[in-house]
Amino acid sequence: LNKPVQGNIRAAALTALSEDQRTQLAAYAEIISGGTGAEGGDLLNEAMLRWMASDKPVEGPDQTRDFLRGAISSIRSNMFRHQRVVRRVEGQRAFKQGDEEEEPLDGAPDHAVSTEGPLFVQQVYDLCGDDEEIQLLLMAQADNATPEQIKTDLKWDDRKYEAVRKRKRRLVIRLMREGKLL
Amino acid sequence: MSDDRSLHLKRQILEEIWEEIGSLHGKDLDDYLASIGLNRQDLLKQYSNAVSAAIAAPKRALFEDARRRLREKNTVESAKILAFDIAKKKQIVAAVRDHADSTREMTIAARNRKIEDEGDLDVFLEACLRLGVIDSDGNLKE
Repeated sequence: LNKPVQGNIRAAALTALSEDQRTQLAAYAEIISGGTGAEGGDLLNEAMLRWMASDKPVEGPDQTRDFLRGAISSIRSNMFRHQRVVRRVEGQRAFKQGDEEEEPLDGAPDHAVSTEGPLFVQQVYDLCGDDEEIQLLLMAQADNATPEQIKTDLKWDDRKYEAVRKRKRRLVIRLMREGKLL
Repeated sequence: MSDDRSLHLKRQILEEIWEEIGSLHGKDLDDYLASIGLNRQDLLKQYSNAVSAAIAAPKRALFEDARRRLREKNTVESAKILAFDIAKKKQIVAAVRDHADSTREMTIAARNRKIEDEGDLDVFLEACLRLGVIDSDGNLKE
């Protein structure tokens, strides 16, 4: 197949997704775009550009959706890595430029509460301070414990485990959307 | 705490978010979205805009590439013709005018255009080249 035909097939695959699948992807992109400086639509668009340029065969809507979902996560991760590299190589810009109202340092993150590297787990833990059960779950998950181990160690039944997981997801989503959890 | 531990937790958090969103359909999905402050119609519009931009991007890239190649080609050809000495340029212009007078292929305004210096010569020759009246060696195209 030549390039334009391939392009048409790949474009058609994007529109072949069901309404639910489109909504799921856009929601996921919207949630995890928090704190990146980009919007959900930007992540979605970047993921689609990857899809259009990919050599991966077009199979069906489920495979297209999985590809896009993976790309969205990867783009988000690359954005944070890029920001870290820029900061490491160029340092933090300290003086304001023409159209800025505030000095960049005024809005600069406090590295004592950075989400980078080892501090991430501690920060998540602190942000979930009002809910001890979520904290326990997070610590266990960070230690790579299996669901069965977690239930046994914390003496939770299935219902309790799922209820805490659900609360944790909601909290994490809120924190991500507010840009507090990167 | 190690970086691996952080990375593992970050991945797990993203996995769990997707696991939930990806498993919901119809009204369940709508209710879930509403609970986190999102709206299906807005998200569908976002998706549709992203598709339009993604489909347009390769076409725009092809168009820009073609335009760039054409510009490069024109620049190279113009540079060649503009490097001729004045006598040669005048000779080409004269040939173009003779040809235009006999074939009436150019407008009267173009045929009668005043050429007072080398700058005018260059402008006229570049226009003839762009219009395909002459080739980059100054030969008339039949």
